Amino acid sequence: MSGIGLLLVLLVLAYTGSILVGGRTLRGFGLPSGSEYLILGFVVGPHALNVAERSVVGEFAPLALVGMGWLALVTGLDFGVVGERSIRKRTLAVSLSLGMATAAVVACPVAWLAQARFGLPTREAWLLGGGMGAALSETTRHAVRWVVQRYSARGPLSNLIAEVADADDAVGLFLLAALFALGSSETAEQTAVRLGVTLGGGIAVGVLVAILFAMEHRLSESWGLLIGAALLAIGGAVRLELAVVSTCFVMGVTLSLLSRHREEIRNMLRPTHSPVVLPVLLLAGAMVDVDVIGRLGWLVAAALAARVLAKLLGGAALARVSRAPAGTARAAGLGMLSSGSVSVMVGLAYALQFPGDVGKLVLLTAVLSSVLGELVGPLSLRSALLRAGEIAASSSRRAGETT
Amino acid sequence: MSATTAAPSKGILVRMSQALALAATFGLMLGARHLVPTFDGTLATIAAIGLLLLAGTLVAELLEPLRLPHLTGYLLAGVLAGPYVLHLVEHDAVARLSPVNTLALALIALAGGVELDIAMLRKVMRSLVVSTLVQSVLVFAVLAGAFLLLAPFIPFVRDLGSEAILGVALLWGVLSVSRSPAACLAVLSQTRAKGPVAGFSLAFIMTSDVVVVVMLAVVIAIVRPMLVPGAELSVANLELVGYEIVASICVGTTLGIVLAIYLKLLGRQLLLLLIALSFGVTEALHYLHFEPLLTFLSAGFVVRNLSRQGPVMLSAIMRTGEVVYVVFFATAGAHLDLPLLRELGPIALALCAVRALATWLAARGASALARDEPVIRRWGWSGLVSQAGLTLGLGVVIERQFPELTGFGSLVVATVAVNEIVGPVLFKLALDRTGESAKEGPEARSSLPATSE
Repeated sequence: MSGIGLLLVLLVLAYTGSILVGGRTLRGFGLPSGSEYLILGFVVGPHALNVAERSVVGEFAPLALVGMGWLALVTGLDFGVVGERSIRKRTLAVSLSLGMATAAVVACPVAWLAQARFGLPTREAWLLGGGMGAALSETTRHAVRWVVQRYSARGPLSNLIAEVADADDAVGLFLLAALFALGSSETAEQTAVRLGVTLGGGIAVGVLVAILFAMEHRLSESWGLLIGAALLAIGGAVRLELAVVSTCFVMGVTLSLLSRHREEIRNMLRPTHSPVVLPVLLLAGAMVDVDVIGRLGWLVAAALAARVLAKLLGGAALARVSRAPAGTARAAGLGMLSSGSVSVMVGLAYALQFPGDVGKLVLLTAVLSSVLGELVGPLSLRSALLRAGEIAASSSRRAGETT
Repeated sequence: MSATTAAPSKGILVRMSQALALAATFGLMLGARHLVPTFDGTLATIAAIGLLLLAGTLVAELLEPLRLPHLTGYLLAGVLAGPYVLHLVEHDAVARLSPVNTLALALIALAGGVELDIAMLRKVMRSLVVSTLVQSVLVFAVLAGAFLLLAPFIPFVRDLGSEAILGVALLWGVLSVSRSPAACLAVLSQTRAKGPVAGFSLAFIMTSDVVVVVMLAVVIAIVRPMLVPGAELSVANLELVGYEIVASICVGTTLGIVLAIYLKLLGRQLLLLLIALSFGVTEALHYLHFEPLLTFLSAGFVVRNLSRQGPVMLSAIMRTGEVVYVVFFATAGAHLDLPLLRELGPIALALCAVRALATWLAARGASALARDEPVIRRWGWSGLVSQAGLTLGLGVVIERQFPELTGFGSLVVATVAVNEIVGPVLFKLALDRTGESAKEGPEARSSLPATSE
């Protein structure tokens, strides 16, 4: 397929995405995590129908990196904000702690299993465990918002879960930066420097853009500056073999913290999320390699089981903090199993950076988590919010009738 | 960033911050290059786009106090970042950026078509016809003559026979008639100028594209026997050109109708639509040997004059174009072969000076014949000096037709470089002097909407 052909396919996908994902409701038509696009990507990819051959999928990889960088920038700009309000500092701390705990609960057993049962070298085992932990630490904000808006939920538990889902994106993306630094360094000092450059680069570009935006630019110039800075950050990170998505996420967070035009910038960039996310999800689906399941499938199962356990514990903690009625904890935990674009981005970034078994396993786990989360998450969250009395029964019935 | 007003004037602190930001941008890239010297492939191209966008925007801002057009800033940023100064964008990245040219030229032609309002054309029809005739004939003849006179100093024609030199001179004459729609639209977009000079320049440059394409086909057919031993004058080539032009207009009209219907019924995601159209349709047109510029020009003309969707279309093109133009001109700057420019500089400068003089004389003569209003008589020539992508494209066509003319392309690049730098400055100066440039503030040229919506 020629370059122009590839580009046209991408543009058609983006156009479709903007219609399907950005429709009338929060996520328009389709599932809250976008799992159907992952499955579609897998079906047309080289491991199922082979409509998109391996070489074609490979040609898309650089564009996928750019897409992921852009999504990470948008995610960074939205970090710490739910709707129109900022997340409370205490909740932010709780979210980050829960995310880190989930990552640790997933990473440790996987690394141990990989080393003890499957004979992977220590470094590789920890890269695998860490990658799975980073990919599975999030609860996707889209699924939570979808449930909250669809059923008009209102109350402390829904607020808390929405805030946690928004803030825990940072854990996976920061872990990714550390793991990439670890993966391409020989010594601890090198790792620290690489991590510093990943985060520092994002901060530097974010500061640069914030300063330039402070100088009364016209909207057209703003687009030039934003796109230019984002592409520069993406190119720089790739050149130095750093985690592109982490750098862009940090750039977004920095810009959001420093720029007095943060709201205008968010409003500029939010509409671009939908056209970019669909091609990225499809590509991630197409890159999933199921051949590793036969040899290393238990590691995937272990990671997913550990995630369920971690989220159940997290749900119990959140139910307690929000003083939800007894019996809500389990449903709240299962309700937090939804994962989406951040998980997939971490998985896809891993697959592109570590093309062997490690990358394949992390991507496969991220995609499976997204699909499984879709089956369990929204229904369980609805159930938890019903039990907590934050969804009116009539509202639930109405939403059910229109489904 | 202001959501409702145009950019206010900026103080010394702002300019210093911009200069520091520019230095930081180049510094970051130099640092990355120092750490990892080799970096190529698609992502290097993407990084190059980012650098050119950021640096182009900043250099343009920094040149604002000198009242230079933004386009000059984009070019300068490209020269600075390019393979002859800082080596941040290397030759292969510049070559890989050619799809940006496809996109930019398609957008420019579409925008040009949308700008051509039948009512406005009727008003300037007499001027347009007279100017096109006088400019085409006079500039063609004078530049062909100048080339003949300078031939002993031009390396690649020095050893040719007199008939062959005459053939090359005629080709040079046609190239000199070509203008730059891109530079014209970029300056108009920046200044949001409205008035007789802006309207006349736009209409003239867009319609003269068609004339140049026809002239080139005719001259190629005529000079072939002079340059290629054994070749004969072929009328079939002219028939083919006629067919291509009519077919391009037909395809463009159909495309325009489809676009107008889409805008009326759906009208969403115009950015994606424009990008897909630019690449997809251009690819198809190349395959069919049709003329993309003419096709898109016709499409834009149909949208403007046969539907009410012109302003919507123009607004979408301008929003996309503001970013695309930066990369387009910055890439052109990075593409400038500075050593070659130094080598062919004197000849190129002489040819450019003669062309500017011929353009000025032709404009004065045509204005007198057409009894134009004084402002056009005085400044109507200013927008016609620029040359850019279209001329380079025609140069490539000539090189392909006559591969034995090694060095012809280099001279084209050298003269385009000069005209690309000088032309926009002259045009902006004229628009500022005539008071057609929009004053800073919310009022804007109706057909080129304020980009700060």
